[in-house]
Amino acid sequence: MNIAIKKRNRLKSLAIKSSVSDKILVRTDSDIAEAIKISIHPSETLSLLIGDSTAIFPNALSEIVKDINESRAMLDLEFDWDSSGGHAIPPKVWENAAMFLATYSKWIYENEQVVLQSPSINPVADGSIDLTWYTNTARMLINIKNSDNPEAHFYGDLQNDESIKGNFSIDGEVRAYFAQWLRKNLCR
Amino acid sequence: MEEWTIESVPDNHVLFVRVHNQKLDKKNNFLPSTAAFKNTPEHGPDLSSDWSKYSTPKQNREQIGREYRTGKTDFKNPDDFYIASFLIGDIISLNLKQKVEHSPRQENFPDERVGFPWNRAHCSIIGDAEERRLKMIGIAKWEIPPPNYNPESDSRLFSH
Repeated sequence: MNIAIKKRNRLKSLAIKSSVSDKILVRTDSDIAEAIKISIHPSETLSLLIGDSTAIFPNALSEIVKDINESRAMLDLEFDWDSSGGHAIPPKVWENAAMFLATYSKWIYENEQVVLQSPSINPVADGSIDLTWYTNTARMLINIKNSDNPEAHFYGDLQNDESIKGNFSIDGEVRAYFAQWLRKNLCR
Repeated sequence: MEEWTIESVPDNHVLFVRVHNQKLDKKNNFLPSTAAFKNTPEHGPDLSSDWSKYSTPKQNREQIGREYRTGKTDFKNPDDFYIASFLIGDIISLNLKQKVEHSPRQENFPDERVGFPWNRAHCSIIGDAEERRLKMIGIAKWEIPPPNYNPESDSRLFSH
């Protein structure tokens, strides 16, 4: 059974209430054609449509799924959204950010049985997207570039000044060293 | 009116940086998001700020209302912005080859144009990297905070 939800601000409560059904979540009243489908299956998984792909998540990652879903609202920002010439966020950049989070959060959960904390997901004036984590002991910023070759540039550190920084292509591959840093410092 | 000279900025002075309401981190107590300290495409490669020698947070915000929006002839809304501050020495000590330069604006001197106000306080924070943007969150202080910011809940543990 499907439930059509026409108000984005109702998303959270309805997502929590509906534990046995598929849901179609609609960003605005006029945006039904771009509905995002999240399904909860008996096997306790969530699926999220990202571009032309469907990412399947274990139910334990529901917070990150919800935050990815809500971050889609940044695609509504138009040029000059920050009154200072900010560029619109291209859908491909959002998809790269969403797939990046999907890939790493699932890999960490499946391999280490811990849940990656959900980051802040924010638009940047150059059309890129920032993913930011703060915990009691660590912080990390990953910038998903607005470029033809999808890239993530990152910097993270710990309170003891140990740091990690660099960049890599977003190609669906998991960089084990990076995933391990996330697992060690940003999971619960 | 004379053209303003470029001065050196002392480490113990303060810079004010405007933060648009779309660049708040709602998940992090409405502190500025890291996007707030990305260099602005509007004015070249550096992050704009105003020097406390020639400005206050209130003046910094008022200045916004005299500026045109990018590519338009309607003015920016100051109420869309909040004001954060930084001790210049804190920015320099981020250890990132970080520089702060006084860069007063007098476009079209000697005729100031509507929508492009002169600004003697203008400074450029030079250098752009994820490291700098993330670390700036740790040293930012709200001067004119958004209404949802709760200072009692400010749990920033990193001081740099």
